[in-house]
Parts: sequence; structure tokens; C-alpha cells
Amino acid sequence: MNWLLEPFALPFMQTALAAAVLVGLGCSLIGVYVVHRRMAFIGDALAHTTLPGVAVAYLSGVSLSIGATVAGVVTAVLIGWAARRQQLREDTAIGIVFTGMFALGVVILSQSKTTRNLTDILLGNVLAVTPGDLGLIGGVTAVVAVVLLLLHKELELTSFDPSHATAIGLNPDRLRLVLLVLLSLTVVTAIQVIGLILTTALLVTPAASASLVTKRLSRTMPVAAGFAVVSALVGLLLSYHLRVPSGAAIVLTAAGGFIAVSATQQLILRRIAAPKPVV
Amino acid sequence: MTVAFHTHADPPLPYGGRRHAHPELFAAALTVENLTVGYPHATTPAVQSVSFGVPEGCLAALVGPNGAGKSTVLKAVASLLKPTSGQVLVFGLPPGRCHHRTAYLPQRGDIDWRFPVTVERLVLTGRYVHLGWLKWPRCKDYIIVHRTLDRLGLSALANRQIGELSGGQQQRALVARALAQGADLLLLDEPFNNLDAETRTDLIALFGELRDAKKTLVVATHDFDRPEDVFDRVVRLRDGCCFREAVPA
Repeated sequence: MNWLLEPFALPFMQTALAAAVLVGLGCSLIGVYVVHRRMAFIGDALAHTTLPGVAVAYLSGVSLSIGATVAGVVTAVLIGWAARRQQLREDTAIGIVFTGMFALGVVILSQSKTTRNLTDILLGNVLAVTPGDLGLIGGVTAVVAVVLLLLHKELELTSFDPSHATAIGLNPDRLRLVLLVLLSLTVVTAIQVIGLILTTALLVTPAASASLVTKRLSRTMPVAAGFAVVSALVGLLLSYHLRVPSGAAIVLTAAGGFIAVSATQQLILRRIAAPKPVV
Repeated sequence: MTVAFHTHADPPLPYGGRRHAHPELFAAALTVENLTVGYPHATTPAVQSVSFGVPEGCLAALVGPNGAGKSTVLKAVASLLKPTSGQVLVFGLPPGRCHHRTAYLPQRGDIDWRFPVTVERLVLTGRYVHLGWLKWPRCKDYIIVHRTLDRLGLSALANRQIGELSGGQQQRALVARALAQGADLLLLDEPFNNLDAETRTDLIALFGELRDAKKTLVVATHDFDRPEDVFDRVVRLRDGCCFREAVPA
């Protein structure tokens, strides 16, 4: 029991746990759409394109979160616009914006004398989350949850049948832009906790595990949130006791959860398919 | 089969600002006059100067080879594409004014059947046009959905994920959604694609029942050698132009 409770007696670990759980909730809720609308590449791209915003903020002494948020939202709008207006395939548009912005971030950061902050951005540092950051993470998670709840039926319909949605007066492109902006906000908060390289994992893995358990969107979201919260908790514990980076520990726990669910499902399916002995 | 007409209040926040409108008295279900329409970014229109009419309670077919413009015409009627010139009237009104009376049933390939929604939920999406923004489906909507599922023999499949249905069942589910919507004009894009002969016969029988219930159906298809044997009215398209409109004796 001590093994479980001892780490969270420390104030910075309590803040880290709250941050990891909130980020896990936000990522898993929007991650359900990321998985089922096949937007994993966009999620990864949004994480990488925040780098120039973070770099500019760092060099000019502004909050890194503000820099990342501005860069993320600008990228979301740019990707949506480029794919719609320029007759490009969306993955091509993402590829151009993603690599261009990341390269710009690397160039800007090369002007900095230290690489310590770059490591934090790339790999995350949940232990460095301040109470102010926690407020921002909580706010973003609340906004994501409320918008997804209020627009649930419209986002669901445009995800699987955009023709019917358009016929009844909805605009699937605008709803997709809403999703992209929510996704970019979520990604920005996740970068602080698990770093921009591993952010996609928290978007995709809990939602993918949940999609193996249930075939209803409304149930997939709470199940994915459950997987994410458990991954955050167990990951932080492993990180504390094994002295490994917290972001990597959280992601490895989530991946382990996916493997366990997948294996259990295969086992159940085999049992169902196996011929029953004749008595 | 009897198909109930659902009375409903105007949604307070309708999608796209579209308000419900009553049809013009004695107007045809569908009137297409000199319709020219194309896809965004395309240099030439997919359909040019197409004209035809479909009276209420008619089972009509748009026939022609692939690329003839059948789907394009249906999409213009469903206001998915904006006509370059010409006119479309649904029950005497422009398509956007009468949108809740029109249901577009896309080709099965246009729907993501792997998405995690059940048959019940798919049919429930037919009620969204009556709800608008920020309103959740109520008990009344679920009652309508379950009555419609029952009517189309889909009750036992209500909790199945939509990808677990056969092609014929998927088509029935889309028809159920159109009925739950309370649509009077059903636009069906290639509903017979990849269906076996038995399922196709069942579907034709279902369309006949809907016609008898005063629904109007316009079916885009290239699956019949003699469509005149099945449909009340046949409009033949070729290379984006209407070259023959036939009313079988």
C-alpha cells in the first residue's frame, strides 16, 4: 500500500498526477474521434507544429503554453484551409505544414544557448507542471469535454455520413475545423506532460483500447477516459519507483493496456469459435 | 404498410438556418428544369440541361451507365451540389426550403460502416433535422425510431453495429432513417449495388410498399436490363444529358 500512496504524499507529485489525469481525460475523449475519423497523422502533426510557437515564446520570455496554443490553433486552421481551398489531398497539406513548422521551430531554438528546454518539449516533464499550468490544463479539458458533449450528435453524424449531414443543413467542414481546434488545444496541454513526440500515443492508444471493448461511440468515450486515467496513475507510479521518464512510463502503460485488452478479446473470440465437445 | 406522418415543432436552432416549409398544393414531388450542375473545381459540368418531373407517389428510376450523371442529379436535388443554371423544385419549393421532406440515401461506399454506431443510432439520425442544435433526442424520437425499425423488420438488429449488417439490411436501415425523418421524397443512389438477386427482389417489394404509402422514390441505378418492368417512370441519362423520359403503359 505504501508503494501506492508514498509518491503522492509529495506536493509536486500531486500536481503531476492531477495534470496527467486531466490530460489523459482530454486526449482520450477527443482521441475517440481521432481514431475513428483516422486523424492520427493530424494529431501527430499538430504536436510537432507547436514547436515554433514554443520556441518563440521561450526566447521572448512569454508563457510556453501561450506560444504552443497560438501555433497549434494556427496550424489547425491552416490545414483545414489548405485541404479545402488548394485542391490538395489533406495528408499532403498536413505533410507540408507539419514539416515546415517543425523545421522553423528547430531553427528558432538553435538560437537558444541551452537545449534543456528542447528536451522538456520533446519528452515532456510532468514534474515541472506549475499550479498555473494545471489551471490551464483543467480549463482546456473542461472546454473539450463540454464542446464534445454539446455537439455530440452533429460530430457523430458528420463522422460517418457527411452526405446526410449536408443534406439536413450541417456543414461537415466547419465541424471538422471545430474538432481540429479542440485537438490542437488538447495537444498543447499534453505536450507539457508527455512531450510532443509521444502525444499521439495518448490520443490514440486509450481510444483504440476502448474501441475493442465497445461498439458504441457514447460508451467508447467513458471507457477510453478510464483507460487514460489508469495509464496516468500507473505510469506515474512506475516512473517514480523505477526512475524512468514519466511521459514514456505513461505511454508504455497505455500500450500495455492495449495489448492486454487485445489479447483478452482474441482469447474470448477463440473460445466462442471453438467447437463444443459432443457429450 | 402504413407510414405515419410525424408532426413536429420547428426546431429553435435549425441547422443551416433552414426553417421547415409546407409544400405547394398540387405541386409535383420533383420538378427538374434545364438543370446544369458540376462538382467544385471541375472544369466542365457533370450534368447539362436535364429536365424531368416525378409526380407524388411515384417510383421513378434514373438510369444510365457509370458517369451518366445520375448521382449528380440526386445530389443537386438533395442540395449537396449547387446548380450552375436551371431549377429544381421539391413539392413546388426550392430544395433548401423543403429539406426535411427529402431524404438522400447515399451509395453505401459513401458511409463509414465501421464507425461505432448501432442501427438504432443510425435511424435516430433521421430525427436530427427536427431537433437542430443543442437538443437531445427525446422519448418521442426513440418511439418513432423503434416503430420504424419494427415496420421494416429491423428490430432484432437494433443494437448491432452498422457494419455487421448485410448489404440489403444496410439499405433497409437507410430507408428506415428516411421514414423516421418523415421524408416524402426518397432519393436512392445505386441501392442495388452488390446485392444478390433475392435481396434485390425484397428491396423492390419494399419500394413498392412505400410507393403505395404515397411516398415518392427516385432511384439512380444501372442494374436493370428492363427498368420499365419495375418502375413507374424511367429517365434515361447519357453523358450528363437526358435523352429519354418514359412512362411505362
